[in-house]
Amino acid sequence: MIRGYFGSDGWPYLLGIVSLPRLSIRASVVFLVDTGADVTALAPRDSLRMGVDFERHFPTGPSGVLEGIGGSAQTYSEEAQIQFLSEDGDLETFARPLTLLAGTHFMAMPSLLGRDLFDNYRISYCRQLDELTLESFDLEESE
Amino acid sequence: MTTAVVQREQQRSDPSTRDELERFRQDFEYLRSNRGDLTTKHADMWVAVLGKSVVGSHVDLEKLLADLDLRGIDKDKALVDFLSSAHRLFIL
Repeated sequence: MIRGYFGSDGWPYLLGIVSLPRLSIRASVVFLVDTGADVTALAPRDSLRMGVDFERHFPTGPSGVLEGIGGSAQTYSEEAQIQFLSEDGDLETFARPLTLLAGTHFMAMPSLLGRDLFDNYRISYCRQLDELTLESFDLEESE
Repeated sequence: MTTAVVQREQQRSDPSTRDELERFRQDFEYLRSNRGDLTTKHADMWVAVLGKSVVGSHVDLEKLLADLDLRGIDKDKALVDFLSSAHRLFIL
């Protein structure tokens, strides 16, 4: 079970470590748990902090465009490892392509934990009790 | 939309990663608990928190990160956030 936290802004967050092996980059990242996000995305503020240089690291250019209510942004895709600490001290590690948002338009936004990662979790969410947990869900065990 | 294939595994955490995430959690808790006071001191600025204290602030994120580099502060482990003086509403 992974424990999340509510920020003073009331937003639900998970704290993780993102590694981009090809770029030899590794950093701690705050993720906003966003049920409206199709994919997990690294925010421009975190890409900048981690030293991602889109022109140098992605010479073939962007891989797509992400659409949101606030506008759109060019995206880049990079193989990544995302790690979260579970309550029992284990690491939950996800190895997958991560979407990186470019530009300054979304600078105010934190990185987003999208449904591609938490679709296989049972989420317990109660701001009043300051309780946010993600519990891995095994369909075979539930049948 | 098709759910992306995610390779997920559970493994015993090495102590350094566990400690790193625990320190990050403590910095998150520090910012959460002190956000009001910190916003008064650093209104509308980016701040970097490391070791349960503010290690840098600037209105320009790039300049804050450059300053952290200059002072040898590991920005990869820092919690960096913007302290807005205005209550902002978002719809994502």
